[in-house]
Amino acid sequence: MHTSEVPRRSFVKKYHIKGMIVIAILIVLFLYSLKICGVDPSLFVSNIAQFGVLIGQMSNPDWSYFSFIWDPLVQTVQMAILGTTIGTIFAIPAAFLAARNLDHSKVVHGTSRFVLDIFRTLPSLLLAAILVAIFGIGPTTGTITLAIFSFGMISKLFYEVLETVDMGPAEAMKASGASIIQIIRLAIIPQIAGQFCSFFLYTLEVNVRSSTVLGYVGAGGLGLYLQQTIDEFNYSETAVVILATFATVLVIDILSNYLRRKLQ
Amino acid sequence: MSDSDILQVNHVTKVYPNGIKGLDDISFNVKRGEFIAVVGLSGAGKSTLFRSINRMQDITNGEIFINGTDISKLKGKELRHFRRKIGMIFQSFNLVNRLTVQKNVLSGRVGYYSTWKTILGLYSKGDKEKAVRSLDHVNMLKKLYDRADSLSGGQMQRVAIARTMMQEPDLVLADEPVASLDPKTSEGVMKDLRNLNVKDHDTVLVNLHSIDLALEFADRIIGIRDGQLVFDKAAAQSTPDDLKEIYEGGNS
Repeated sequence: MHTSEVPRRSFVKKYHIKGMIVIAILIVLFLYSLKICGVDPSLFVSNIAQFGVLIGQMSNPDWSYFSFIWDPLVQTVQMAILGTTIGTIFAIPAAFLAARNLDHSKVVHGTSRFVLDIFRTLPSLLLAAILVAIFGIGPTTGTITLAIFSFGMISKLFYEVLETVDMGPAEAMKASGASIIQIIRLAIIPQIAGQFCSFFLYTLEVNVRSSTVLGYVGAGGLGLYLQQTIDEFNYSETAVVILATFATVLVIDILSNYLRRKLQ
Repeated sequence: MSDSDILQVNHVTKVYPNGIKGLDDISFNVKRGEFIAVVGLSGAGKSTLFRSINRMQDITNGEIFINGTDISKLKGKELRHFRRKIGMIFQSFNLVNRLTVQKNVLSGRVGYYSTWKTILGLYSKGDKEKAVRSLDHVNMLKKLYDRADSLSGGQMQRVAIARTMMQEPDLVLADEPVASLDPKTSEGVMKDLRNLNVKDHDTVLVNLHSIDLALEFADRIIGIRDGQLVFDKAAAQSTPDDLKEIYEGGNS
């Protein structure tokens, strides 16, 4: 009886030599980084007691402080909603320009992508620090920061969605005499609307989280109170700020997850 | 060209940027009201021919006249208005899955609407009634409010035919309309296309892989091999052997 020959693998493939080498390199890099940065793991163990002290003080939240932080808490959420919305309004046309599958030249989407990449390299805290210098302290600065941050994030998420659409219906529309705007409205938007909303909500979630720390550099919202109470060693008040932040983020997360599930 | 010719293809050649010849000096005329099957191997140039006829792509050489108009000179709005009169049916149906059957059918009419009306999603009462009639025509009216992705392949193709009817086309190009359907469903879809031809007096060109379907439904059969026209006869005078020759010839 004839038996077909089993294909052979080379030595390198058989023992996953390449994968092993990569893992070895990563371990070496990790250890080397610890050494260069002067990270001392033993410090983590020896100072763990300090952690207990902090927790002890925080476990007695001063609830009367809550009345002071209600307004900035609301402001934080407002900044996030405004910033995300403004960012999204600018991100939609940018995403259409950056999508590779739509009918326009390489120069257009290449340039758009490059610009969007630059926007995304700016961390929001750094952005806020710069914008505070320009627009001054306050929630306006926070809103602008979040708008710019959302613009970078949403335009990327959106153009990736755009690149996954089925272009068949668009072709059918084109063949029946539709203009490019009509094609986008009838063949593209129905395919992406659900995912766009879902990504909008996700960005809102991220922004509520990050807007709580923007106050640290003076960009409005709850972060300012976080900084003040820590600086004054008022950990019982810090605890209230942290718990309020946690509760808000949790509520927004649950709400947005619920809505996103509904959109599927 | 005579008045009864709706389409005239004169020495048409299409060379793709990578140097491949899609069409090689093809000429033929189509009379108003004809039902023509275009047969040939995958890659022979059938789709290229169709996409040249409605200017979804430009040809390299030659001329195409539709209703006496040289289509290579059309641009912008003129081109869009010209395309309204040419229906196209696709192998992959190309419906918007997330929309209802009704919205998909109405979208066939969009070439007749202004941009702002489209943005608001407004359609006239007359067109809504027209959509109902078109769907009734292909026996799909009961699915009016169903989402397109809940339909079977054959049902999707029927809806696509109803969408094309909304254009009130003079000429319908069906690009492998039954290639992804089972034999029984294919038969049904071919009958719907034939009805377009008989009841609405549309001229229909259909790309087919099935010799049997070509012989059963078409008035005339055109064969294409390697971008060249190798066969052009009335279906009544064509034999299965003739058609096999279109597929197998040129290999000897």
